[in-house]
Amino acid sequence: MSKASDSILRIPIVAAHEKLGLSPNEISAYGFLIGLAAAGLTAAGYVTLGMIALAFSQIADGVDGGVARRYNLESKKGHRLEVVYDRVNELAILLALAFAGYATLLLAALAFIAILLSTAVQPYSHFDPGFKRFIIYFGYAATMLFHVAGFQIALGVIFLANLTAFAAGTVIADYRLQAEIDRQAMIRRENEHAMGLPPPPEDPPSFLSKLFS
Amino acid sequence: MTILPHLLLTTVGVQALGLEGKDIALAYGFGYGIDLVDHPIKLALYLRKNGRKNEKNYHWRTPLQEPVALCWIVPLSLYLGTPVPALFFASHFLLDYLVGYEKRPWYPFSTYSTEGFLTRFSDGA
Repeated sequence: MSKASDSILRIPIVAAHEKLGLSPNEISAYGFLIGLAAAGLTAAGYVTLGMIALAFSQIADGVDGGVARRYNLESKKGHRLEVVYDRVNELAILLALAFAGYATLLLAALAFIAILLSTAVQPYSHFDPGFKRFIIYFGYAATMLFHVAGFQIALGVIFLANLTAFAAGTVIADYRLQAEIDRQAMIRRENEHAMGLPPPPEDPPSFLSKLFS
Repeated sequence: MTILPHLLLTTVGVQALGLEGKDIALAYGFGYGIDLVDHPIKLALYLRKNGRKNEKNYHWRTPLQEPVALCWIVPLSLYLGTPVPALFFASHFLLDYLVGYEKRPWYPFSTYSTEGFLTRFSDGA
């Protein structure tokens, strides 16, 4: 969850920390347990209750970060813990949907692999598509309202969105590296020019450079 | 590697495997088309650095055509239910790795770089 969600969740953030005295890590742990309960309920066939529990789990997921930011309790350990809890909860709910027959096991596994890939590249790309558990509610709505294989569609969206995020993330990281390499090369070239050194010999014109000159 | 060998290898692969329908599109997309998507990505950076001058050894490649892309292409192949994307992408980068110029196979997860298998053979592009 982002800082934008902090204003929406202001009341539970204040209540959790000031009234109940909970730390961000404790809230994360409660959210994690509620998430596991959501998976259990879904696997047992109580999909509506499972979705309600999943929503509470995600609210806790937003509140923990909000408490950390509002009361200056952010830590790397807390962030790592939240990422681990989130991924385990996602694995649990995806497997639960497969177990209950709402999606194939292959697609649940692929969706989770894609989530892991986008998580792995995120520290390098600083890009998170946010298409994870949230999409499952749309699957639930489609299943209930239109009697289609909504969860299967939702898992397909999660898979493709996170796979795209991974591919794009690797490109973003590489683009930044190349920009930095080029910047340093240009600085070096300017310094050599300022010192009166002769420029390095140019490569002969390519077909394309001839075409565009 | 210039585009022509990729086009030839992909065409030979399509014929040899007797591919049909969407598999042909996937084969050309991952065996050949990936170059057309990948190289323009760094065009803005190249122009900022060199303008219209030619820099022969500029690093045009992005991870879209490095082995790290197998991390997303193999799951995609499983999702589509065909090995064609992974197979033709592997043929694409293996051809690239035959000739000598800088590649970063596992970036951003590793900064390791290599010139490929046959470093004495230049790209000739």
